[in-house]
Parts: sequence; C-alpha cells; structure tokens
Amino acid sequence: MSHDTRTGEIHVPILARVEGEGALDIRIEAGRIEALTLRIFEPPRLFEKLLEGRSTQDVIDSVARICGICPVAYQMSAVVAIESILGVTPSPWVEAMRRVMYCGEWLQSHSLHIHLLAAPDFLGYDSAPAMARDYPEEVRRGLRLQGLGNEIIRTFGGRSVHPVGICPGGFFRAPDAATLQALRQRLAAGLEEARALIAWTAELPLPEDDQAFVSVSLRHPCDYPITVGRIVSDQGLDIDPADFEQHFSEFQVPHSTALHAQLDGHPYLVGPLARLNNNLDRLPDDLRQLLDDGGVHFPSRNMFHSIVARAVEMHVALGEALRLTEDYDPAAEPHVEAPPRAGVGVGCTEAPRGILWHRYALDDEARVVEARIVPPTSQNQARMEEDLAASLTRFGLERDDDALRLHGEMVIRNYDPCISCATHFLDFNVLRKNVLRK
Amino acid sequence: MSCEKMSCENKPRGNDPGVTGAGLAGQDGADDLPKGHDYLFGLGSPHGGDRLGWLAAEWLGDALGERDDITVARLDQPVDLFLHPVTPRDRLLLVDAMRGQGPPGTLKVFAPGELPEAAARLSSHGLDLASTLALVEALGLFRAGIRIIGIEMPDPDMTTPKLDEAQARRLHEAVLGWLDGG
Repeated sequence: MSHDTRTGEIHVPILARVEGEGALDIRIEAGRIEALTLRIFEPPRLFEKLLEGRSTQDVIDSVARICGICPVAYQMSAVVAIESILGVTPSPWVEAMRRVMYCGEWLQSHSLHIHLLAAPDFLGYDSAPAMARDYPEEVRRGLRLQGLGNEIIRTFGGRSVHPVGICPGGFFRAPDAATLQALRQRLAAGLEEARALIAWTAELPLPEDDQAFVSVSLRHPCDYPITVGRIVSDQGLDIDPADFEQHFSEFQVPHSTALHAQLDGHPYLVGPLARLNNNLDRLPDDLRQLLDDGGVHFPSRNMFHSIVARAVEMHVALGEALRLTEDYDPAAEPHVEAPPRAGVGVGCTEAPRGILWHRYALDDEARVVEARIVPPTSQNQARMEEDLAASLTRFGLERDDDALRLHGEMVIRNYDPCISCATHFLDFNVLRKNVLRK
Repeated sequence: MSCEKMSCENKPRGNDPGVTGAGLAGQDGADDLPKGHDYLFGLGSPHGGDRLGWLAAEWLGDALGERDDITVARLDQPVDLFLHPVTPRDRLLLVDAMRGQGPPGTLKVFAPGELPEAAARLSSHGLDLASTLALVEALGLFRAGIRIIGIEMPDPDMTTPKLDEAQARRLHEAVLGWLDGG
C-alpha cells in the first residue's frame, strides 16, 4: 500500500496506565487523518449537582472524593473560593502549610506518573513491574518519593487518601513540632533523590516532537505557582481567576462525557510543562542551573519533556516543603472563624495536572446554590486530540496498527490524564479500507 | 510505632469462625538468604469498615511491643510500604478488611496469588494492592514470604467497627504463629 493513499480506521478500545477509561478512534483517508476522537465514555459523575445544598465543609470533604490522586487540589481550589465568599483571610501560617500540603500531592502524583505510568513507555517496557526488574533502584527511589508525598498529605490531612484536615479558615489541627521535624529529615533525603531523578529523566530516550501550543498556568509575583496566582499564557494572557469565564469556554462534544475547553476559541495546554514554560524565572537558581546542565532546555515545545518538568516540580515541591517548615511552630489557632455569608467566589490552584478552577454561589447559610468545576484533564482534551493528530502523522501513518496504537497511547499518557476527574481511559480503533481491526 | 490503643470488647460477639486460608508459617521461603526483619502493616483508613486493618495494627502493635524483630504500622495505601527499608530477606504480613468471605470477624489468610481479583484491584488512588505486590515481586523484596490476613467487615450499618476479644485473640495467635513459625 502506498503511504500517501492509505485509508482506514484505528480504534484503541482501552487505554492502559491512565487514570480512568476512554478510547481513541482514528480514520485515515488517503494517507491523512480525516477524523480523530479521544472518546471519554466514563459515566458523568455529576459532582457539581451533588454539591448543591451542601455546607462549605461538606463541599471541601466531598470534592476530595472526585480524585484519589489529587484530592488536595480539589480541596484547595474549593476552600479558596469559599473563603473569598466568606470574607476570610487565612493566617500566613495557614497559607504556608497549605502550600506544604499541596507539595505533598505534587510529589506523590508526579512520582507515580513518572515511574509507573510514563517511564515504561520511553524505556520500552509494557508495564512498571517489567521495568522494575531492570531499573530496581530507580523504581524504589520513585516509590520512596511517592510515599514521602503521601506522608506530607497525611501529616496535614489525617490520611493521604481523601484527606480531611482542611476547613474554611485553615486546618482543623496543627501537626506537632516533633512530627514535622521527623518529616523534614525525610524531605532533606528526598531532595537529593529528586536531583538525581531530574538527571535520570533528562537522559531518557524521549521522542523529538516539537509542536506549537499555548501554555496556560498560574503565575505568582515571586514563587513557583501552586496555591495562588493570576492565570497567564505564553501568548500574553494575564487575568485574575475571577475573569476565567470571559476567556475560557467549555463545551460538549458527542464523543466525550467530559467537557472540552478552549481559550479564546483554541486548544491550550495546562500542567507541568505549561507551568514550567511560564515560570522558569520562579525556579531557585540552583535548580535552573541543574536544568541548564541537564541538556533539556525550557521553555520546551516538545510535549514529551513533560516527564522532565514533573521531575523538576518534584524538586520544587521538596525544596518548598523544607523552606516553609524550617522554623516550624504549630499554630495555636490553626484556623480562623468563618461565619456564613452569601456570595459568589472562585478559586484556582495548580493541581498536578494543571489549573483547577472552581466557582461557587452560596446562600445566606453558606450552602451551595450553584457549583462549577473545571478540571485540568477537561482543559487538555482538545490539546490531546491536536497533539495526537500531529504526533501520529509525524510518527508515520503507514506504520502498522499496533505501532500506531502504542504511540497514540504514549502521547495520551504523557498528559497524565485523570479521566475520573474529568468524568477514566483507552480503547483504540483503526479502520483501513473499511475493515475494522481491534 | 505510635498507635492509639484500641478497646476490645470483653465478650466475644457472634460466632468464632477461626482462621482459614493459606498457612502462615513455613511459607514461600528464601532458604539462601539470612533471616531478615518482619513487617506487619495494617491497611485502611480511620473510618468505616475499612478501619479494621488499622485497628488490628494498633492492637498488634501494643501486643507485640516488646519484640524488636517486627515493625508494625498503619498504612493508608499499600504503596507506602516502600517508605520502609525493606529487603529481599524480610517477610511481609498485611492485614486488611475484607468482604464476602464469611461471617463478620472471619479471619482468612491469603498468599499473594490467592487474593480475590476484585479485592486486589480495589483502589481509587493509583496503585492498588495487586499492583503493589507485583512491584514487590519485580523488585525481589520479601522473598522470605508474604501473606495477607483479611478480616471480614461488619454489616455496613454498624458505625464503629471493633475487634472483639475472640477476634483479637485469634489474630494475635495467627501472627505469633507467623512470627515464630520460621
């Protein structure tokens, strides 16, 4: 068959090593991709509707259930929105410790993705256990760092899965100094391991695949953005999170139970690579030097450099957690009172997979009248489809179905999509010359 | 370890189904390795029936407090066991709540390959028990043996799950048998 006349369809019915369930369908006509759909068929979870009528604490505890990997992100965006309505300003201690807790989530989520989901792709293994037999020290390092992230979350949230420590105005309790001191010793050891991890990811045989895309993230006046900031892009966008709806639109497509999103009518990227592209100057000097020495240069247009960006952010998370707990003193009052008040408020924080935007309207008793949640995976869906079309074309549509399916899965996994958040993932189907293959 | 003490009810509740399943002593074996350390991890969370694994770890931590050949701890997630300095010479005993294996309080011992598929794959957060055990095997850890003890959960409407005296005694005996069984 001639490469430029190839016709058919490819279907990937189940995508492995992503959080959730979805599928990929491609129709190739005369050697070109005529249609490509990333199908997300996990049933809608209807969380926004379920939140109506609930109290603010119920919201914070409920939204943690949206995701087992990034519950802290959901809690943080929610609590920021709620506090803005209630007129509550958390103490500097609360703001610092929330950032530490969030660092725990970045650490565990990024380490899980690097070692168990993405790295096997680049090293040619079909699973993390298969890779672990040949890279035992690297995998154990990753598991330690993941566990350390869980430990940070547990320290502030009572447990690492769906934590319960956050309330409007702060935390229910402050960890004692001895607990933090023991944690800090592990953080210091982890920081060294994160340096080695950056070097390891930078040496992985990552595909060269530069593309044009818009990077969207938060930006903070001085810190690497995590819990607060303006929404910016590398194309000049610079807005208050309250103005999100004026620039970003969500819409339904027939093939997905998760909404798609566009910025001023175009797909865009959120997540570690976008954050790093937009915030290189917010990295500590020693980390920027480490990156410069590593051979991978940012800002990067190669989506596969996301794995390096995740490793960098793990170092950021550990460094920040150490910095912010250096003179740790448990707060006598870990939260301020938050009396009920009606109003509308938004919260936007940097979940491991990108900006997570929440908007709530509360009544006089501070019960939810209306809720809107825009998760990162929904925002990245259109970008993933755009990337798949470009990457698979560059990879070579003349290749056999298995090769295309594997490459497609690798492209998608690279975004670390959390389909459970956006509504779980991948079924791959190719049809050539009207023959359906699975 | 620093576990809160749990209270055991004085009177045995319900029937006493005993311990069933794979043997605890004389397991898997790594005869070529010198004896390592033993780890007992209770899996679970602070609330609901899932709390049984933590209750067991708290109770066993107190009961085995004099022994220095075993580390007892509670884990939120199986993958957190990698935070401990575990080696191929060590043995692993996991205690977790289970459902559908008998009357409430039933203790059942599983070898890794015997775990019911649904239980091993049950996780909302990335790395379930089966995936963790697959990594343990790939990394060559705990070659001296791995066992999982399941404790059947109470009815869902029982708000505060507890280990009663008979269950605690049987669990303790089973763990002592594992510890000293070689």
